[in-house]
Amino acid sequence: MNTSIHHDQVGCRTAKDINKLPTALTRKEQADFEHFPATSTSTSISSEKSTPACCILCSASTLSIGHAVSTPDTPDSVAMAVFSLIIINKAGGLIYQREFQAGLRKLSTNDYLVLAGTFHGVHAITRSITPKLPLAPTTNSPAAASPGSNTPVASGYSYPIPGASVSGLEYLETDKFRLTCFQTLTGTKFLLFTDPMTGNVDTIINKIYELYADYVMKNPFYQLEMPVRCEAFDRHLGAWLRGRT
Amino acid sequence: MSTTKASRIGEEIWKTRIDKVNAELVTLTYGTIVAQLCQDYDSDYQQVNQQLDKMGYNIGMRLIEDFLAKSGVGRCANFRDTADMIAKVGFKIFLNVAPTVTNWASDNNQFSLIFDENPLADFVELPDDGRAQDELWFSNILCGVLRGALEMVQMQIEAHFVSDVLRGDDTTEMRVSLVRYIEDEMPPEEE
Repeated sequence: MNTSIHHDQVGCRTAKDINKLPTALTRKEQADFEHFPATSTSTSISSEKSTPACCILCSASTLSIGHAVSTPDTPDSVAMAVFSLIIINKAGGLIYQREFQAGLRKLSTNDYLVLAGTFHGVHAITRSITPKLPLAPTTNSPAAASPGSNTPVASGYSYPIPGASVSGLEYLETDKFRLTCFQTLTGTKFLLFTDPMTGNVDTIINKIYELYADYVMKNPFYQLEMPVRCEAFDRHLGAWLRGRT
Repeated sequence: MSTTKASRIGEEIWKTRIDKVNAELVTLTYGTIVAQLCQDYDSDYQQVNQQLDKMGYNIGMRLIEDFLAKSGVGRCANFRDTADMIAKVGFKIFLNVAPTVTNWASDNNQFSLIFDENPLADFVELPDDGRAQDELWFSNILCGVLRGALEMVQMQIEAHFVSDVLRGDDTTEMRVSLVRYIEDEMPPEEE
């Protein structure tokens, strides 16, 4: 229902971001950056419509690794290896999408919306297929045993690893990239695309959540559940990720 | 999670992760808002209560993300844990007070928060028009904040003040009742 709105707004944002990118680069990098779109468009023409979303993402991360290696004097891009961030609201709508590497090939806006919606669905499925163990009478499941528990006690089954809540998909990994999904208790999902070797992804995501809480949620003019267009969030996110090494 | 553990978490976050702001600024700002509302609604205090609750609700829906991001706590196992979390972590980090949780209903779905101190109401004397003392709940914004925040973590609650020292009562007491867990967004386990 909101698709068209999302489409327009996300479109504006990405165009703006691209315009901003070159200002942060040195002249050499800028030259690289200028060459890059040319090669990427030529390769992408064939795969534009026919390749599934995940393949485009894979090739995008490969390309960007190659880019980073070819310019060793840009330690940032090698060390951070955070490719991009997607934020999905609790209804499965895309509310934020951004790349953190210059020249990273993008999906079309519509593909991002589809990716967000699909991931939302898959996440819900992974949650519901969590194996349910029959409840042995001797088992002291904390949910069933705690006195004064107000939650209706699940009758007849329990989950593996009692104590941990049912989370749904958390990591998705290929040889080329790793997708980490962090779902907040309020239902918002943060999807971070990183190099598979990147460590401390949880720390990065927690920091992103804090920045989101500060610069998006506390912005009185941000409408809840709508696409994020907060310049301060962009700025602090970029600055913080650049500052990490 | 026990009350003491919640208190420790609240204390820790308050000390290390919270930017502090002058208390008078908060008190005066909030006082101005309430006074202005009383003026705008021509001392219709029911309306003022309602507006304060609504403002709080909008704050709560946003503030919960900050609470979760800063505290890093997981989902509460039951409503008693939720009560401790609100009193000892939530109120602690945002207002630096830790109200007492008490007067549990037998079904564990209702409790009271007793405020020994209330930074919003420092220096306040209610207008002596004969009605404010009986009708205005000065700190009603807090009810809305709780309602908004808990709704975002899948709990529908009802909150209202039952007494206020500003009205001459002995204590300031807020009654919080769980209406239901909102199931749509919940992982199946926690319903």
